[in-house]
Amino acid sequence: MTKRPNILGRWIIDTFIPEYIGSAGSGDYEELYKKIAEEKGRIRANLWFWRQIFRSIPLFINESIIWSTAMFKNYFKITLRNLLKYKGYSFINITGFAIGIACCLLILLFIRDELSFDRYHKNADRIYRVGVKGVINNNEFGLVSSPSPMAKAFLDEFPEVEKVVRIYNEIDREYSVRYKDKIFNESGFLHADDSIFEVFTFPLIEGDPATALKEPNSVIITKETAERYFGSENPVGRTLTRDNRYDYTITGIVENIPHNSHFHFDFLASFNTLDVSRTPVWLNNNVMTYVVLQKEYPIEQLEAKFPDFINKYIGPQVKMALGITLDEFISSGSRYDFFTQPLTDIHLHSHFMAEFEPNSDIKYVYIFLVIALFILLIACINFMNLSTARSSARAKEIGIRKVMGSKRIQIIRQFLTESVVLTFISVLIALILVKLTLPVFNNVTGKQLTVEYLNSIFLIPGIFGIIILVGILAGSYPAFFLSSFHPISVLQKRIKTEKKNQSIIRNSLVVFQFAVFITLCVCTLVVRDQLNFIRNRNLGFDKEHILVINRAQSLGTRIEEYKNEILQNSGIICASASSNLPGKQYTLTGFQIEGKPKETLYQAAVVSVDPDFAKTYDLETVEGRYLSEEHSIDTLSVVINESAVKSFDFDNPVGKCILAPSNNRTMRIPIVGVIKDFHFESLHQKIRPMVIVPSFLQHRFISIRIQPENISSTLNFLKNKWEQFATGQPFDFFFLDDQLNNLYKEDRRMGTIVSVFSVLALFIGCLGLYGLVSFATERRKKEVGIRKVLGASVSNIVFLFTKEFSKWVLLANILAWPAAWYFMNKWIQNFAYRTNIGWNLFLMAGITAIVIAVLTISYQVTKSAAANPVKSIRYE
Amino acid sequence: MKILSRAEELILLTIWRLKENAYCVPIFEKAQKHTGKKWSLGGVYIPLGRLEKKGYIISYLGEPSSERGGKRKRFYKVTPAGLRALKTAKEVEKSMWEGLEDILPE
Repeated sequence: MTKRPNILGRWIIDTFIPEYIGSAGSGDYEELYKKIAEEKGRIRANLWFWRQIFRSIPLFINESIIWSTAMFKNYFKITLRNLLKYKGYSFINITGFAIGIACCLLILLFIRDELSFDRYHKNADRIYRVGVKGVINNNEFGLVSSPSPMAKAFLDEFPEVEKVVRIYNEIDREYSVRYKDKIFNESGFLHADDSIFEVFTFPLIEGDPATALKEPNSVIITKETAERYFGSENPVGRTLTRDNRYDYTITGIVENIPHNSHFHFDFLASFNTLDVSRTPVWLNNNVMTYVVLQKEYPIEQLEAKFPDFINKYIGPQVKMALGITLDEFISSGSRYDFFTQPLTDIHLHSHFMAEFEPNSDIKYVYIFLVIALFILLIACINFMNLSTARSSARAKEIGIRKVMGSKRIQIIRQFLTESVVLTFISVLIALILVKLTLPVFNNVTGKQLTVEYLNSIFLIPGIFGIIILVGILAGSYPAFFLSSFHPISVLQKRIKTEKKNQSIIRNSLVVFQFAVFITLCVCTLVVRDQLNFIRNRNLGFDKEHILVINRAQSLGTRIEEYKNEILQNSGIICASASSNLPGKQYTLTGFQIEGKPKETLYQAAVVSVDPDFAKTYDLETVEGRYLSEEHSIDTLSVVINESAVKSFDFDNPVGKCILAPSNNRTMRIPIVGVIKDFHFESLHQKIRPMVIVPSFLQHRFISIRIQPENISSTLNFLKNKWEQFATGQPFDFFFLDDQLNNLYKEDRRMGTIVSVFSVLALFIGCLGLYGLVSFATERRKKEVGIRKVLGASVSNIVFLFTKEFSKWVLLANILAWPAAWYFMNKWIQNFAYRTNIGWNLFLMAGITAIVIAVLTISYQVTKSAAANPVKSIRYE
Repeated sequence: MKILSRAEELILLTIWRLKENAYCVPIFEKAQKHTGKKWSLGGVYIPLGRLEKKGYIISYLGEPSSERGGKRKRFYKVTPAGLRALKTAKEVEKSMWEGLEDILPE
């Protein structure tokens, strides 16, 4: 038996030996093995053999690397040569790819930012916000605020709660803050317990977190605020005055709150300044309570203890307020529970009313992620299509390479190199594009995204990794396709015909791209329609030319005087003071109704106004009468709207009474009239019940209907009068229609985003179509040539191809319309008042797609059809 | 002309010495014998490849033989360029060593 090294060893040698040695090398090993085996025996031979392998393999690997990289020099050369030779194609390819990658990157940046909210706090994974939810009178409610006394009770009752903090938040609060002569209206003024620094991570630049908010009337301000009020002076120790009445001493300066937080502030004052921090009332939910849980403590265990807690603390107060026990309350179908939200979930998952700031939605994150992946996929496949479209041009080159001894894998490597290089260039361009468009993107999305390419060490190798990955992914199909050419067939100009399924893949890609475009186009049109609907809808009151003076409570008791003064100006038609306005936020108050069971609480938005409100806003009374000055304010009476009538289940509302608790008595307040429903909230909301209460107390807003002419002189007049009555307080005003428009800011933004994407999708779709058509015309050059010879004109040929490809675009329509309808239906459910999604929108989108497709197709076909038929049919 | 590495030079000389019968195994054995060190086959192949790339040797395949498990032998031959390279190497060594041989310790 011939002595041979064992088969594993032989296989290793065969695999690793460099190619220029070839199989001869393996023979050398065997010869020596045999010699040693015969001289010194098998064992020694094996020993020698494996030692040889051990020492040789690293050298072989080294050599192989050097040899293969040698070939890459050539690949690069050819790649560059091809890029420059077919400038048009390369440009289209790279541009399309770069745009696709740039979109993808922007979206990923957006997503990364959205997911990062509130994570910078040290305890972030242990912080929870406690809210209240339940059912009252068959109406579900949920609040993210909680009772003021709850925080301390939590600390007493639950040892697993390590820390708590309360943040006091009045909705839409605006305070005026003054330092010496600088006075501004501030909306970022919060009160919080001094434990806030133990719960959240807000680094103090100056001041001691342990004591900064311990004393009442202390405040810390952000760096930015300090600059605004104090310039370069040191603010610590100085006094700020709030609302001209309350003084606060500055005890520290805090870093500006990062944008990726679910709440922001410019001023943070000590909560114990306010009496509300000591209230024993459990039924008012007016603070945000955050707790820090012990490490590893499961939140569900804490939540399980809530029902007993509620019984202990809230039960007695329910009895006092409603006259029934908590159990009776619950058995009548109502519920009252606490619930918790993890801090890091708030930004994307919390959508209750009266949040600190409007939150985003996790839905957007998912949608955008999907869009990003789709765009990348489309860009890659476009790339593939365009790369293979010019295959006949490269066919000869491939044939010759093969004849000269190239192995298939080398050709594959060549084309992979090409696609990696192209990807590299595209990615570079994409990175530049991202940097350029980031400001605009930030504007549209309302974020402050930044890219520092050189910042992170991981970024550069990461980018290279992605370039190679994407390059190989996108280049794999063309590489395999092109390397499969048989040298003889291509050198004889016989390119093998494409199999049926391959062309289906290609075509379905274009269909998909156009379907995406059509869907987005329809969405854009629907959003535009709905926005028009909103703009033109009759809101039930007259919103034209209403100027609103903010913070009218600065006028104190002289509101009426001011009103009467300004009415004397000819530019002013009428004015009214109120506690709230159409377009602002409303909370619901609950109360009982005389004649209805005691357990049922009815809820309505309550607004207090002066008697001119209906006149100023031109509200229509439907039943009874409106409030008027003749009736003394002692006999408090109210007016309700039509929705309230429905909700309170009245047949004859006039004369019925609302029961409101006041000073241990229950007051009976008669309803004297019903006004027609008007949209005091956004059209997203169904019109809710409203109770209008007359009052001459300090109202927050003065709504003034002014003449449209000479607005600036009217403004000046108002300002001067204001300064007479409320010296030192800033004159802050806005126009009601701007306020109303603000309600739909998000929707307008969505519309912009969708329309931008649809343009992009169209562009990419056209690229895809262009590639597809080029490929087809290349393939069918001979057919075109013969047709021309037989008498077809260029336009005949264009018509022929256009007909064929328009089919696909029509198919795209059929796919897109249901998808678009489904998405838009879902979106428009957000609006309680909406327009119809009309057929014309789908048609418009479809026709746009077809027209543009036809233009693209005819452009490309005309170019090819203009070729000389002699040249096409020459080699047969 | 590039400078030969030590291994390349030694192998080139060995091939030259072996004249007709210069394939990997005798080169390997002779090199081991002359240098007194144990070589690895890989350490022979790599210089062979580099020498061929530089054009100092050429190779050709021989007949398959059963004692090598049916594989062919690859024979090597020194080219005129290779001889020139050897000559240069010798001159470089001579000029490098000039005047220093006496200082060699015993």
